[in-house]
Amino acid sequence: MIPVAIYLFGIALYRSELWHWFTIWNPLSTLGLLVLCIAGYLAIDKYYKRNFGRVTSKSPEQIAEWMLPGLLAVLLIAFGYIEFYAVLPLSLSCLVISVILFYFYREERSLRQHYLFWSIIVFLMGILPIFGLYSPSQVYLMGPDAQISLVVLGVVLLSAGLIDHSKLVQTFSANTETA
Amino acid sequence: MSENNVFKKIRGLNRTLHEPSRLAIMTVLASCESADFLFLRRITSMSKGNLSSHLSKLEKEKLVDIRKTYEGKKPLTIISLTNNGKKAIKNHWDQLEELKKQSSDWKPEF
Repeated sequence: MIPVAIYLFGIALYRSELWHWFTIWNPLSTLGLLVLCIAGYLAIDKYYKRNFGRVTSKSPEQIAEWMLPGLLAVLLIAFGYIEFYAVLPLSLSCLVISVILFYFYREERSLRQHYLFWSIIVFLMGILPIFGLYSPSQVYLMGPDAQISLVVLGVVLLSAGLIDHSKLVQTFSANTETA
Repeated sequence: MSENNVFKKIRGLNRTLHEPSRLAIMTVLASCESADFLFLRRITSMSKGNLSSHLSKLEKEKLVDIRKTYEGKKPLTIISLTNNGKKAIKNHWDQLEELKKQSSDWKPEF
């Protein structure tokens, strides 16, 4: 989640043209951002393996673990384009992200209560234009003015990731035998 | 007299599996394909020595398979259940559930 959050922050920076390096080297910088996120993901993965060990899921779960992120990415890109070109009065991609966060909450309620909160935040952000509080182009994932939405999504993912991490540390460090 | 059998059955539970630390190890391994030594140690909150000794016992009973490999220069120990182990832990939990049900239905008859 944290690398995805970094990616969203980077895109928000690019859209708001605050980072001139981005605007000058557009194709290279977006590729650079992607490489940075992949490197971040690999570094985080290595950190977890080194500190918490490794576990391999059962085969059907493994397939789902590999396929799900790809499917979600395709779904989000598709919805991102649909909402942008159909000029919908709400953000479909925000609603999809909200459903995904709610699903995470449903899967493990005792550990992931905070996902319900994030799910509601993203849902509300997605429907804001219906009430005239935001223009649709500000909440579309591909929208040219979506800097604030991207930052909000980034903060949501970053916070969820950090809370998950602290819960994992608490769970694994409690009552460890030292002998 | 079937009620009496409930308590006989409780006493007859597999002691290798029923020991709390080993039951924890086996239950973790039953919910995944495999796990490394560090993961098992962290999730069960056991010390290296304690986990090692329980794993040796389970390996001796052919309930777990222990593979020692390397990742780069670091040793890596991967543990998984054998087919025997999978059957044994499933059977053990089924037995516990059944015994719980039977014992809660039990009433003393004199």
